[in-house]
Amino acid sequence: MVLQKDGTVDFEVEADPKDLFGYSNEGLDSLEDTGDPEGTPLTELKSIVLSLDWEITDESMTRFVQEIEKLKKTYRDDKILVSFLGLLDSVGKYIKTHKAKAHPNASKLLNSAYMSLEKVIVSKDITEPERRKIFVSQVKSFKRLKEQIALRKAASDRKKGLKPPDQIGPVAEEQINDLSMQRQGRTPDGTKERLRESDEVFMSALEEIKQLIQEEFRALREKLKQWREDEQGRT
Amino acid sequence: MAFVNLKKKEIQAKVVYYGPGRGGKTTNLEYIYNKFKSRIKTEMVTIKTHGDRTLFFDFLPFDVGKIRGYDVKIQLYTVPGQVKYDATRRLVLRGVDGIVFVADSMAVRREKNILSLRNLQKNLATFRKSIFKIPIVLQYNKKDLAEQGIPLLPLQTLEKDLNSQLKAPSFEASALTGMNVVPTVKKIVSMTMASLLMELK
Amino acid sequence: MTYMLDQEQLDAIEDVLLQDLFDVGVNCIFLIDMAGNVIANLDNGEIKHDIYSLAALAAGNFAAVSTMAKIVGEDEFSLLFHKGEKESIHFSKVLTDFLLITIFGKGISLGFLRLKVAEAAEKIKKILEPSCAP
Repeated sequence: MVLQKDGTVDFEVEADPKDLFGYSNEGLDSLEDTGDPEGTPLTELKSIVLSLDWEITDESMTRFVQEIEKLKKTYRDDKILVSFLGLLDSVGKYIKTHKAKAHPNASKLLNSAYMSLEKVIVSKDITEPERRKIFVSQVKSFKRLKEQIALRKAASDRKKGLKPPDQIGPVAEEQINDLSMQRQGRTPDGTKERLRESDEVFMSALEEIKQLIQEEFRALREKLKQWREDEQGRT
Repeated sequence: MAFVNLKKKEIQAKVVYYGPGRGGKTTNLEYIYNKFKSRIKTEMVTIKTHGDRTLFFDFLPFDVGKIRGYDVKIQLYTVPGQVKYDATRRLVLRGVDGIVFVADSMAVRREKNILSLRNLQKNLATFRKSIFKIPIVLQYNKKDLAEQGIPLLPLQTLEKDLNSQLKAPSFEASALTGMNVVPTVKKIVSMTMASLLMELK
Repeated sequence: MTYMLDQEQLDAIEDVLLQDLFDVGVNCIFLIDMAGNVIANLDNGEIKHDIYSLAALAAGNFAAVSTMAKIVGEDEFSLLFHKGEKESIHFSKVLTDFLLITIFGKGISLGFLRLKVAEAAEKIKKILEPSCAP
């Protein structure tokens, strides 16, 4: 701490630790800088997401979920957008249910998923593969969050002397779902109904995601095959 | 509002230097800071105007040492003395455990001393504290100006104006040269501690 | 009014700060009273802030803002928060005489932090209540 000549005091500020999970750390500032979604149906959702950065309340989370539902209808013919919105819906419902007990990365994912959604919708020249790539990257973050939630729950159960889960790591997606959803379903405050709804959305979003990833791989394999054929043709 | 930490065996208490503007409150703290620099591990915090007048408060944490097995940390504060900063003075007084009233011995400041003392009484009352019950020491500052031929109030006058009812310990001092600065703070610390210990019984 | 907190209370407070706030990535937390005394503090080991000065300034800051609130006709403001480029500070009142101050980086959203702080403040309230003057 250094006393300045003008009488103010300067404090040294330590550097921010690295974020290990790949979420965007930008938060409010970046959201405000991503440009104007005016002219798109995203205006209301953006204002809700910005307000959540300042305060998370039941009311604001309800508005968030309702707005997502509205947008799903608006974009019902666009598979990627519907899945994207499904992802946001799941995260939103998770935060709404768990509030202070939610994993800290959930609200980070909400912000980063929104930013990606906005990019996909607002960018005029974005190609289909680019859209998919952005979506798949958010899905990866989504899966990471679920793993983190499951790990955290397992650690807390261990502390309480409960049985640890069978395995974490290379488990099928469905098993991770079941594990984390079952454990969440044991919350004592009677949120089972809401969690089941949330589960279903998780599951259908994951199905969509799986299909999209499979299609992506198919497209890539085709391209690779084409490239090899072209190379052979040249030699 | 002193805090006794039974886990760390530590007592934290707040002493505020009060008085009219330009009376020497900040100078008192600056002297203490410079004198005990080796023992005071942190910088003195000052929030001043461009004209070097205290705007909000000065702050100096002072480790007194062990008293009855407890580490005693006294937080020394000053308030801005100018009349217009009354609201600020009030909030700095919050939780005060002991007061040093720094009066300006210059003859031209006689009225200001009296007004400031009344102001202190009024502001203490907003926290339901009585000037007659709180540990208080009077310091008649700027004695060094006598050498420069500046008319100063005699001790009798100061005592009559400011201490006839309070009957508090008082010191003639010079914050600039350091005369009686340390005895003042030692006195208020011991009075504050005694008062706290009485309260805790 | 002098008040005391014993080992059990202080340990319980530290547990709340550790589990509810520190574990979600807050860099520095301190609980102070309105006189500027430090009751408890936790930091991530990399922080070297002068807690005693911060406490004095925080108490003064909060008191100044509360006074402003009354002048404009509010009982108090519901949010006192300073946003920095790398570090931000959030203030939360606990009972009438205490302040919970959290310093956090960009990794946590303010909205989420406020939820955690509200929860922690409720728990700390219960620990402090027996020591407070009626």
